[in-house]
Amino acid sequence: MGYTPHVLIVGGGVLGTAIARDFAIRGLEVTLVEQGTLTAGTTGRMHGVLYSGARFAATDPAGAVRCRSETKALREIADHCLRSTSAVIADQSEGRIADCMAACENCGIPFQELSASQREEAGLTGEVEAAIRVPEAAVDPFELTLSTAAGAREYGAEIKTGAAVEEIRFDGGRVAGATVEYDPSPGAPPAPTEPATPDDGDGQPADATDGEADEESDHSEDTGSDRPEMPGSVQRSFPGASDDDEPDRGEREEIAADFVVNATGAWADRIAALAGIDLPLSRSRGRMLVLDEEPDHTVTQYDPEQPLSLSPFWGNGVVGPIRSGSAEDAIEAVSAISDGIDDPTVLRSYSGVWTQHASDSDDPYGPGATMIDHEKYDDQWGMLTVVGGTLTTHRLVAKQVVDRVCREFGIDRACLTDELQLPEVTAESTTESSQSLLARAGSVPKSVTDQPDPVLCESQSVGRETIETALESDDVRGTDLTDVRIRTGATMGACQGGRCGHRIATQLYPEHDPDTVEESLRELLAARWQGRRNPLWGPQLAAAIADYEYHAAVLNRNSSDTDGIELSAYDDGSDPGDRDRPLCCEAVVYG
Amino acid sequence: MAESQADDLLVVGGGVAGYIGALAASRHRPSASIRLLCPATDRFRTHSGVIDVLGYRPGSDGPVTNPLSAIAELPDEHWYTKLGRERLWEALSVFDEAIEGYRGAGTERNALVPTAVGRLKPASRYPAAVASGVASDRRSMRLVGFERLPDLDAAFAADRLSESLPYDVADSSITTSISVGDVPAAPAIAEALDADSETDSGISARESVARELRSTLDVEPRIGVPAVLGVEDAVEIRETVADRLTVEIFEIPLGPPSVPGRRLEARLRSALETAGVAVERGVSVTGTDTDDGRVERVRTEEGTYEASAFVLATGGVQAGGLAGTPSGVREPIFECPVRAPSDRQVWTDAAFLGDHEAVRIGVTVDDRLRPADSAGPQYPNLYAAGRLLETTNVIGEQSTDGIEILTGYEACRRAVEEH
Repeated sequence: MGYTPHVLIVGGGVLGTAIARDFAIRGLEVTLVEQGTLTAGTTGRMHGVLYSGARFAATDPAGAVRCRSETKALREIADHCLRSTSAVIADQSEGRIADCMAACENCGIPFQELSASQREEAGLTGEVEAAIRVPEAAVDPFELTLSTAAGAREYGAEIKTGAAVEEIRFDGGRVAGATVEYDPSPGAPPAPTEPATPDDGDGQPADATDGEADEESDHSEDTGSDRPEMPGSVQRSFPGASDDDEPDRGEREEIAADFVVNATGAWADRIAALAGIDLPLSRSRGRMLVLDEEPDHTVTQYDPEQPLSLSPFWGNGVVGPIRSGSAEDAIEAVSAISDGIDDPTVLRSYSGVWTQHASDSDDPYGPGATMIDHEKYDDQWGMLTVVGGTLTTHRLVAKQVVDRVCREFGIDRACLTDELQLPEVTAESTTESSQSLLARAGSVPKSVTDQPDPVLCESQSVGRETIETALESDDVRGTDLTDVRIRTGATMGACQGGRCGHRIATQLYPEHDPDTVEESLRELLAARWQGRRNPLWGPQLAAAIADYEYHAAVLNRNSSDTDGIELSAYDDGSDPGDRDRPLCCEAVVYG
Repeated sequence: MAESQADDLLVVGGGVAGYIGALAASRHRPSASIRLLCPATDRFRTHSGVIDVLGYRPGSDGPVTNPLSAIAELPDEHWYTKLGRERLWEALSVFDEAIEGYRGAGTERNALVPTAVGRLKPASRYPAAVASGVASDRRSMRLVGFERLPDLDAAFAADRLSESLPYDVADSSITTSISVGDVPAAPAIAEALDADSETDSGISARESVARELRSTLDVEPRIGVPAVLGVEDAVEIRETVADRLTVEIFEIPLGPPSVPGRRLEARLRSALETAGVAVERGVSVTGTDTDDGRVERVRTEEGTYEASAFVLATGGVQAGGLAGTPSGVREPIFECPVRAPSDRQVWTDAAFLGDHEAVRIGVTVDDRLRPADSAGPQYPNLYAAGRLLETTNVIGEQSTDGIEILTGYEACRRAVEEH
């Protein structure tokens, strides 16, 4: 047929971008809108583990098998986003590991049992009675999402960030399109901080789970918008909350669409509501701790109640997800099995979010995505919502969504996303800047050069050119330094921007005026502070107060504008006898 | 150092309060034997070199013009109100008389000095190295950034300053050929200038900076540069370069590790040496001995120190004098009484530049500055000073040094007078 359907995807997380890429590869017209920045939702809150499936093998064999095959697929297409490619599952109880091995065998998940000496070599403590090595990987969700977005663009997809959906329009029971409003402010999407309220809705079709789209698991996945890692303690109620702080009205656009895919994760009910659809969700949370020590590889404690992982992540270690209990307990639990961390301090914490359809009775943390066809339940043709699932299987979920939508249009084209490599986002930048970016991603050894590319963020080795390149890229909206952080890793180290934030912000100058630069810096530090504040004691508290002093007293950033200040009221430095060197103009007159 | 020392006064803590307190005590009782123990931490790493007495008053927007006059309007619980203006003046005089290279003592007005992000910061006393940069000196200025030192973006800061100042603030930047292999660059450049070592381009470090600055100059009679012009030989370096260029040079403080902070520490140390106060650096207290309700001695890995009176000035939460733990804030050496909210959430404000309770948290003392709770002083011969004390938000009001100087002075004066 001579007509190409136009699909609108809402949500710029790893799932939304993967759906966009798959559609684009299959030749459909694709627009993706994201109200904040790419990865700003749940994707940016994951703990960085690509599952082998071993942890689900006993409880959800089908989900485990999907994890296994998808981890393998991602190694083929997105190797550059993966870090360590082996992980260890360990436990103090031999019996539990034996159960795990049996389940893995059943699911065809390869594993290698470790002998006592191998366990020691793998950095496990003497307390560990049994351990297996499984093909899990640490993944960089930011880089994976940016690569997927770049891959979607390669095939013609249009990706718009800072574009919030205002309304989804239907015409005669059939979707017509959506109205989006572009965020006019430089940095902050007007989004709520976190889908905090696990509102158990009811009255929605009890069996909304689509047969074929029963997908995976976990917290990663994408959602609408907002900054990563807001601490669990600071919450605003989610949807609709943005109405309270009505931003300046930005530019609006009507986007016509033949089909709308709602891939906004924890924000999915809000998007559904814009179409007049009631979509009850349940949300579960798990806390992640960012430590100042980086382990060599991922170690997971095999506890079916609360599997805790310790993973390397951008020079830090991440412990999580903590479903219950304190940070101290979690650190103690992973320290009991791993020598990978010595005496870590918690830099910050953030909450991952697991979203499910309210009627879904599976383990809320388990691998399982739900596809809801709103024609079937709401008599609205042309809109589909997908919630749940894990980053590990996002590609497969995307494939199933795209298969389904293509069928609606009578299109039968094979999915190629398991064969076509994702582009490396670093490839577009050149020489030093890409080197620095790669160094951050761990692909090439960090090199300190004498070249005049000063290091702006010391803990993450991010140089000025890297920041400049990031600011010029399409992924960075205007003056949003959160985008720069996502792209470069800057401000992710121990100082959380306290030492380096202003250096990065001033790179916006002179393109942007000083007030805009200040506002961007303020927003960056405000977002980092939210994550930093929560676990604050010990050396981290000391460092936070030192950074406060630097900004408030040394830089005097807290002062209101000194415009119109009465200069003559202050010391002008001309105290008699106060200068030990004559002014040079005096020297000319008298000398 | 001998195994065991017995002094009249032992001051523990190597910040401004400890140094000035020890100095004040020696002036009060020149015959007394006084010793200062500085723990290993580098307390001056974050010090900009500028002496804050009172920059802002709560509830008032503009910078304070005259700190001593503004004291009258401070709340009753403020240390300045409690100890009084006269005491503060005496304490500041100790600093002014003993510490070389500082300005601002001749007037009690604050000066406004430029910061690295182009704000104006009120300063009561300031190093001679920043004197030419004060805002109320109405000559035009030029800021010159160093490529390797991203803390100062000269173009940005100059634009910001131009908005507040009725005269021109120009900018330029230079790429110094002083080779710094690795971060942090600021102390590395300062050390190269101290040593006047040869640069990559084959000329001396000072000459190379002078030439590079020369190429950027225009009509402005004063230029501001990042605060990296040497530590040991800072005065000589700045004057040499200024003379070569026939301009005045002022420095703009950078973030830690701060070069002006190192200079201030060196000046304080030299003042104590002149006054005959023994200074032990890098010594951490590992334990204490008390007898009959009095502190007898403190123990360190290198030996024990006995004294008739002790002053604890180990700093606040930030310097490690107080330790924030998941269960509360404690003072680790003497377990002094500390008043702190038990809920960790309220130690910090929701805003990064908000009013953080953690700055206020501190040791409670009696009216003689001895750690005390409602039952009275912990020990009759133990005093506390500086940011270890429960205070107001000294960072927000920019009074940190004044509070340290005043309470260090008062605690040490009492310690030698009363024991």
